[in-house]
Amino acid sequence: MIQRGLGFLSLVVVLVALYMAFVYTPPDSFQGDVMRVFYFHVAAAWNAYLAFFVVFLSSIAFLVSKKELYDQLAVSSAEIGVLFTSITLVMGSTWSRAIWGAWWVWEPRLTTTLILWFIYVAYLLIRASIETREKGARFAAMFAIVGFVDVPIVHLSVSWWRSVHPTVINTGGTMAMADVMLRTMLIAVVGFSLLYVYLVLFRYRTQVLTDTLIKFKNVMREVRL
Amino acid sequence: MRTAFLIARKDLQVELAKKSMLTGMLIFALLVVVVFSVILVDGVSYSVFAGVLWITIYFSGILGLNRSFGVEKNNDCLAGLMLAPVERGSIYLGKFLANLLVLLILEIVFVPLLFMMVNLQWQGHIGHLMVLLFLGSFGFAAIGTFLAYLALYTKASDVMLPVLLFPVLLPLVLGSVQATGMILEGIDEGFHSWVKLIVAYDILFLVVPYFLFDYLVEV
Repeated sequence: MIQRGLGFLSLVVVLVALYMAFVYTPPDSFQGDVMRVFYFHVAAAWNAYLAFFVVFLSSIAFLVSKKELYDQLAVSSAEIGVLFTSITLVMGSTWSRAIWGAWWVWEPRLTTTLILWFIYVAYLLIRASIETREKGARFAAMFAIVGFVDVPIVHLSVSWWRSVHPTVINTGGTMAMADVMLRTMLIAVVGFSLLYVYLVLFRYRTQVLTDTLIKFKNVMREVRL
Repeated sequence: MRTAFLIARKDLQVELAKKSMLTGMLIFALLVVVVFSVILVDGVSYSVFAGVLWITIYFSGILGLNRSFGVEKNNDCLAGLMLAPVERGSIYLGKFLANLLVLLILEIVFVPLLFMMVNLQWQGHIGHLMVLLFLGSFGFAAIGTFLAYLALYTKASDVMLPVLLFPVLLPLVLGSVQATGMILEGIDEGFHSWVKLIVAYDILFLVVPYFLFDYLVEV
């Protein structure tokens, strides 16, 4: 019930954000209509980082408490995180082609996001390729911790290397953006965040059902023997 | 700590007796250099040379890492090692030490050969280069040993290790290649911040796996 409500709510907010992004806001004075991709690009990126933070926290919780639910939460969030990271990369790439003139530029934030994508794809690969469910969960949790600890260093190292990404939030904390655009961006972020929570809950439920089914299957096998 | 030294000594003794892995790694490293030299006929810049140097070391290092726990799987030695009444963390430290030493032995032979094969005129101090080689190998062995154990239980562990390792290794690759390039070119500016980054990476990825290793080998 709550889940369905959340799904509906996120649909409404994302639709409102879409309306705002395409109709309510004027085209950017320099970039024109291409800039409109920005609203959802930021929303997706924010959720990607949020998702991986959730994976990190639930992995620690799983290692400490050994409760299955944390692992189920971690894998759900990781999958949705990879999805949002892919969306971020694809959207950023199309924008980059129009504004920078190249599909891909080796720039700190892009590189960090790409590495983040690789780390969490590897996370999903570990889980998939270890036969024992319990061991897979534990090993993946360790990798999630190591991977998350690595992200700030990756970012630092690639920042020293080069930088051309547009900064929207200045170092003083002020926004270099018109109010209309800021409002649209925030609505898009809220919409995608609701969508994230909905998707994770959905994925979490299927994971719980899968695990329960496997347990039943094992019990049945024992009974038959 | 003593356990760690014992494990490292055992691994090294086995390796030095057979030398199969070291020879394999060295030949592979030289082959990689030959392949690069064939591709880069027009000569190399400092940064390309630094890149070739580190990529070769890391690629051959992966071969060693795959064997590091792999050999223990025969005859269930790994289970015996884990059942031993010692702290799990020291098993990790022992394996790490052995891997680091194997890598350093490889570099002692390989790096001079590389300089001879490529014939690069370079400035800079040889002591700096040696320290950097040590620091870069240290971090690689630290995180590599840990991930090699993780990869050991996956279906295609030889394939999984690089997939797990390289994304996490990126800061170290970037740091060692940049800093080495600076040494070769004789630039001082910015060199120390890269070295600091590498040292921080080394410490972080020795300490985190050390504590995680206890959780790793439960059950």
